[in-house]
Amino acid sequence: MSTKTAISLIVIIGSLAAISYAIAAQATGIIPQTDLRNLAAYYLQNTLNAGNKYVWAASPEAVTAIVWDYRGFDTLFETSVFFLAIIACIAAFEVEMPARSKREDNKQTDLGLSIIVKVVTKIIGLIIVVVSASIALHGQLTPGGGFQGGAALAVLPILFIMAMSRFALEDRKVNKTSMLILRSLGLLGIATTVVLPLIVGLLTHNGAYIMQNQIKPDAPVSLPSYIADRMMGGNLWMLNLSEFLAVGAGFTLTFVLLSLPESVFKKILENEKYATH
Amino acid sequence: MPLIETFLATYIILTTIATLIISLYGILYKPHLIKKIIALTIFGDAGNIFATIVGFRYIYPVVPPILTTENPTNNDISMFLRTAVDPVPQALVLTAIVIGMAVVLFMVFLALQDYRIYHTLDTRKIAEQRKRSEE
Repeated sequence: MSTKTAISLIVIIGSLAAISYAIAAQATGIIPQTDLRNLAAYYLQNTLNAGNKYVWAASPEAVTAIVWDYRGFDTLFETSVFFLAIIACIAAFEVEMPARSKREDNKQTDLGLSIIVKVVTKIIGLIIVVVSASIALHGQLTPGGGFQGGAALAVLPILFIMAMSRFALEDRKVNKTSMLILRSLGLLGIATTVVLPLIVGLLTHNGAYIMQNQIKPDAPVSLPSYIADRMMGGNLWMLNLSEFLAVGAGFTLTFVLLSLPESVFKKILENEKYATH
Repeated sequence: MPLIETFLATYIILTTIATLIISLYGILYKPHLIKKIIALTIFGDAGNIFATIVGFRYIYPVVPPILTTENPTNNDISMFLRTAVDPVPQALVLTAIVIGMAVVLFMVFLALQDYRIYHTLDTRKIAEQRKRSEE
């Protein structure tokens, strides 16, 4: 047995022992529990408790309240991890995008699957856009939010590439540049929402916290929790919309890059000396 | 808890642990890079499922952590506290899924780049080629 195999074996047995011991010693509590943990009870108690407006999140959806209000900074840094992963993908595929006219022929109908599949894909594409936007924009009321909506939207470019080839996306102005712009708009929206209370507090000479949602005892700055009788959850809807744009456009960007033909990369590798063949 | 439900809960927890361990085996022992990535996604998903199980409550009725009244009274909120599941693991899992997907995409990009340079994704063959090119 080599050293590498032995270390792998120790890692597997060690993690099995650690997980089993943690569960047997009830580090995670009794599974399945019947009572709520104190932390969960606090969040559920306060998420829409108008009696105590200093700790409420103005959202009936406790999960969204935790994601963007109570544990907002966690999500902010998770978004930065997402940002870095997508930026790293682009850096790994730093190539000049082939122009549309470089195709051998201009017969669009030759590409992709049959006409039935194409029409059905277009209908489903419309439904996907509507459903994912609805998931994202109702994040403060129903299950869903920016992350889920964006992931649902990212199914659309895969369907289009499968059914109609990547040129169908390029004809609809879905390319690297436009998706980068959309994604940056989303990230800019998140950054703006995060520092908005500070700016408003500075202008009105009030105390304010970064990423503040509802009013606090020493910081009376907040976005409206109701707009025209609709529950908006303060800044939750802005964060959800921005995250929807960032996630949807970010994933679309990577799928557009992944659909590039291999001949583009062969040409690049031939010109570079690190190619071993 | 009745015996059959204790058995089922134990069974679900044990299968989740088994999935975690088997996917760990896949990550460590499989030489093919794509198989390693698949094992890693299974590892992440098993972890997410485990987090959701931790948040589950064995009660009846059980509801998702969403208030359905617009202006809840204290009575509504205490009823909500008695029936709702734990929202904290759900909040952790929902971001973990999307971030995990982005990180997996990055690994796929790196594997694709490896394939373009070495014309294989077998780590043993890649190591061989690297050794040969260094000599």
